Amino acid sequence: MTVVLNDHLRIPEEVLTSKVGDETVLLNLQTGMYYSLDPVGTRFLEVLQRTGRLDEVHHALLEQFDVSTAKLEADLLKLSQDMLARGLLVKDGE
Amino acid sequence: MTGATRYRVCDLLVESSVPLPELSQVEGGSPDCRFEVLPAAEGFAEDAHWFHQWITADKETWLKLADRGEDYLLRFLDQGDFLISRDGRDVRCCPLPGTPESTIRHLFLDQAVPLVLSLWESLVLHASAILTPQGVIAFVGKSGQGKSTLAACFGQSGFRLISDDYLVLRKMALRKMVEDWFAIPSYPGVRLWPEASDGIFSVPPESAEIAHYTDKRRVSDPALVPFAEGPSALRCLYFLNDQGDAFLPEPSILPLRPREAFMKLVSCAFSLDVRDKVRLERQFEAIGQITAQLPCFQLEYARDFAMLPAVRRMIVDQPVRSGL
Repeated sequence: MTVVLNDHLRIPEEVLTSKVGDETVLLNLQTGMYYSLDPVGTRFLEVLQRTGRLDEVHHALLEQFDVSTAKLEADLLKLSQDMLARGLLVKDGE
Repeated sequence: MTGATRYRVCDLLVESSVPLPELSQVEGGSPDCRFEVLPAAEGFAEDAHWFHQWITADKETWLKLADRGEDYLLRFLDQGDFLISRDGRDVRCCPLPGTPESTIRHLFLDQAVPLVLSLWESLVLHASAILTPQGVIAFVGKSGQGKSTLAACFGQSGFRLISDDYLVLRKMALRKMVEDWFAIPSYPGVRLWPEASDGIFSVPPESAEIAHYTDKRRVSDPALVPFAEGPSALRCLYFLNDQGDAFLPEPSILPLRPREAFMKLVSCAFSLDVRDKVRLERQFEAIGQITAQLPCFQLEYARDFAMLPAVRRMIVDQPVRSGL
């Protein structure tokens, strides 16, 4: 599934999240599979949960971390794509 | 059930059609769960949907779980079948011909009961636990990682046993308004390999057969392994690994990140129905709270019985060092 920066993404109802320390654990209730996110991934999820917009996440993380625009965009798109493939995110409206 | 006797395991009142000498008998009260052993046969009819199986370290299936309408079916390969009603109130065993009574009791007490409890409780962990002056310490790990050996080592030094193999955790408040995670004592006794028993106790203890397929024996003498009387607050969790580092000169205790502890706890939590979203959600929430609230450590030590006193000393000192 292709993801672009102006996509709207959200966590589906069947996915539970728990912030433990500065990291996050996710459970996909459909598959019973657990996943975890490191502190940067956790920050990604926090902003996404608040705004629902990937471009907002890009903007927020660009201000927070010392990273180039292109590198951050590539990393965000890859993480979003991975999470979509595992059912941890869905495109809004789906 | 005619001629049934009532027993206590964890704080579950079990009415059983067969004697359960491992447990203390209880007079009166209304049973939470009924256990009945049926005549030996070739198992319950197989009009069931198999949904899960447990695999040994040798990659062999030893337990298959199925959905059978009103019941869950547990098939212990080569031993027999257990039917557990969906509400966990009724457990029936149909042993294969030749399965000894001790094996049936072991499968009920140590395999079926924690799975039944997982239907009702927030969290049932594969863990041994002991009571210290600061509260309960749990040793979390899979089969063969040394849970019982550590529990026996502490018991032999006068610490009371909370559990040998499965630990029921319940959030509640005792004598104060703040809720804690409490450990519920399971039942007396530890299951030890003969070499572990020899390594821990200076004089060979009285012991009983657990099941015909294992050399492990149950040591229940309260003078050697005293048993805790009631629930106590959980204060700390230690995670065990497979073999330990044979070359480690002394034990080591490393703090775990909450996420690491979370994932380890998930893999050590009992769950009868892995498809049950409501219970998965409850378990997820419980593990999140425990790993956020309680210190979790990785315990490493060489699997040498001579090392156990040093392991015990280090653990006893640890809660003080971590500010508990």
